[in-house]
Amino acid sequence: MDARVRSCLAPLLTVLLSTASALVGTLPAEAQNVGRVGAVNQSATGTPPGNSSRMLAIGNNVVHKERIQTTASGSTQILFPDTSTLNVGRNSNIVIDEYVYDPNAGTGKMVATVGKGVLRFVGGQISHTAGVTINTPVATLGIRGGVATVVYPITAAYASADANIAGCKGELIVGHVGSSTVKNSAGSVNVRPGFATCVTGPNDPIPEPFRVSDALLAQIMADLRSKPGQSGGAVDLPTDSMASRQGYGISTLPDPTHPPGTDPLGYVSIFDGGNEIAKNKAQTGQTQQAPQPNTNPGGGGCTLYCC
Amino acid sequence: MLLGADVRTWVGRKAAPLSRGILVAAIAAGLSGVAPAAAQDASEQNRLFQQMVRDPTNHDLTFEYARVATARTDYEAAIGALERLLFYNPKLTRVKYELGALYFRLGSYEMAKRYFKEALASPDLDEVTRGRIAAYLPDAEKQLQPSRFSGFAQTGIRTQSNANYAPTTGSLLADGTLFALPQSSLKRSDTNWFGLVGLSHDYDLGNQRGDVLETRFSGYLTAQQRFDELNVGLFDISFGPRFALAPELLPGATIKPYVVGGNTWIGGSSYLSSGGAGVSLNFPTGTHFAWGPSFEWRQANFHNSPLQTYSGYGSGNWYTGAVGGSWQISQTVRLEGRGLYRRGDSDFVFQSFDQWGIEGALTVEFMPPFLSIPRNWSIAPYVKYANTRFDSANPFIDPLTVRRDDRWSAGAILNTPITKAIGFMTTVQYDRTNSTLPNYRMNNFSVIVGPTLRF
Repeated sequence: MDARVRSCLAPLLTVLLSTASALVGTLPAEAQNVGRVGAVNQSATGTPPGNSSRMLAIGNNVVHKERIQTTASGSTQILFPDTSTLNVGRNSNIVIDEYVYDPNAGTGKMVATVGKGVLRFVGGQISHTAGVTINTPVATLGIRGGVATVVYPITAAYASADANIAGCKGELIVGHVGSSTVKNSAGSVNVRPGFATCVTGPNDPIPEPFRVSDALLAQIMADLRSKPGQSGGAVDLPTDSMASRQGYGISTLPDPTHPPGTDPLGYVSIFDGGNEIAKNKAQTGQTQQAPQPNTNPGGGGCTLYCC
Repeated sequence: MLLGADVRTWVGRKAAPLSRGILVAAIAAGLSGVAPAAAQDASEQNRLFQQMVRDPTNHDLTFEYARVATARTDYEAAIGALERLLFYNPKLTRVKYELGALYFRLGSYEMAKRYFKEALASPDLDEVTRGRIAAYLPDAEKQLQPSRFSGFAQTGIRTQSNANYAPTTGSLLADGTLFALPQSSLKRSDTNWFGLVGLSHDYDLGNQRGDVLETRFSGYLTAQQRFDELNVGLFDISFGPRFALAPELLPGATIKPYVVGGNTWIGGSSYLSSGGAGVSLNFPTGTHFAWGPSFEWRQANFHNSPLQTYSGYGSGNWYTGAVGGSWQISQTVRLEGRGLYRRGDSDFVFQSFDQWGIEGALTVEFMPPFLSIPRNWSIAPYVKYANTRFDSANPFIDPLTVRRDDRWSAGAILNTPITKAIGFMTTVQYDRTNSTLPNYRMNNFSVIVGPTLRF
């Protein structure tokens, strides 16, 4: 179990519970906080079970089985105690059905249902252990150790962005990091990072995934981001100057390729391979140059060091 | 006062364990500090996370949290935080670049490419960030291609204190009798030119398991200034598919069966050819650690039959089992290690052997001195040990003594990229072999310098 997660849950729950006290008048006493709103563009609402809907605001708790809905201009990001985040885009309707997290064991379970919309799940501790399940009307997505995007239903804007989904009216699932497994009653398909598939119905075969196009990603990101004039609920906005002061924008990246000789032990082993050959030959010659009994098929002469 | 040969003798006897000890101590000290440092970083990330949840719009706090998470290679946590900042202000060019870099590190090259392109489209992009994107966007695009070719090359100079691999004792055994080596055959230094190339080609089979056909080639050539009879040439090539074992249950776990072959030349003549097959497995465990066993069989054929009976190694079948692992301790510190056992069944029983060895390298990256350099610099101290026991005494050397060698190597590699493709690499290495036979007791200090090329 990661000590980071183990030690962060208790204080986080304290924070969540203390905030929940302000909502006691609107939420049932048994409501269980599962996450917190980190950013929100209106309009976005939350409807806890048995309660009326409320406009979401930064810092609101999200409770067990709360329905999150956004309009054509709404979007939100929800933070979870295991450091997972859920970005919910425009025209979305989702429910956090289950969120259980045991920081001592380092395991948990998260199940969400997407009625419609666009969402990107960025995994935390739970997705690296038991996995995360996202139910949709046409399929179930299992995410392990990763990041994935779900779009349902596919609108004309998406269909026009990528020829692979031009005729698909169902659900788009994009794998970004880790393992994404799509299941419905017709079967199961693994979607590897950088690929996507389109599922048309709960009983329809899941098509072979295709490599996701840049245009399709651009469309997804546009729907998951603030529109011009929106600020995610923040009053003071972060700036590039702040980012620059913190050293952002200059980080370096490693070469993603690993040809032989680019790791230290591999590099040294190439030289050592040459050394062993030269050493074997040189030491053989040294031994042979000593006075020998007549056992050398070559006549016992010096071949390497005699001049 | 020590002079001349005395100094060399002292260096040979004292400096070896000293330098070896310093390196081992340095690695041990580095590793002993790693666990507390990692725990401290984890604690810091916890603290920042709690504060950030309490105050999501404290942007400096969020930047700091993402920075600490990135340093701990918790890239997903950093992505969540930075994508929230884009909710607040979608025009954050530097944040878009960093998000591209984070997705790049996670191997999500399509997302990296998208964020890099969005950052490039910003009118207020500064020159340093633009330079970074110019360097990394082609890398991301290349990784999205099904056929990927890459290479590494170095040329340069190597100096060795014992280039003729002479015994440090100045004497050797033959037919059970100890002989003194002539003056001309004692340990002598030399300088050589070398060229080294490593090539890799991956062909992505395009299935959802992520199976890849891998071809690897390494070649090496030397030209000695003095001992040109010890000029070496070698190549080694392997080919095989890398299959995902169980993408759903064990993401990233792979198995690779392969065929392998190569040839070596010395002094202009073909010396050893080998061919065989092997299988290697890789199991990512958690987000920071990967390990895997491997097995390889090779048939080795030495070509210089007149010298065969005097040679330490002979033709036959070699079997190697190994377990290797790598631990990404933090974003800039990585430990790699490997343990191996090898059995060599040669035509002559005195050339059959059992060998086991262990090796490890600690790579520490650091920022280059100029912002215009797009790759980190690194220093990698390493140690290697091999114990070799032959099955019986070689009657042509000493019929009463079975050869047993203990070989230590220790060194460090300083890698200093200058551009994305061109760099300079410096390596120092000390080798020492203790043996039951004086013929094989030796030491050697080498320095390798030269420019490098990545493509």
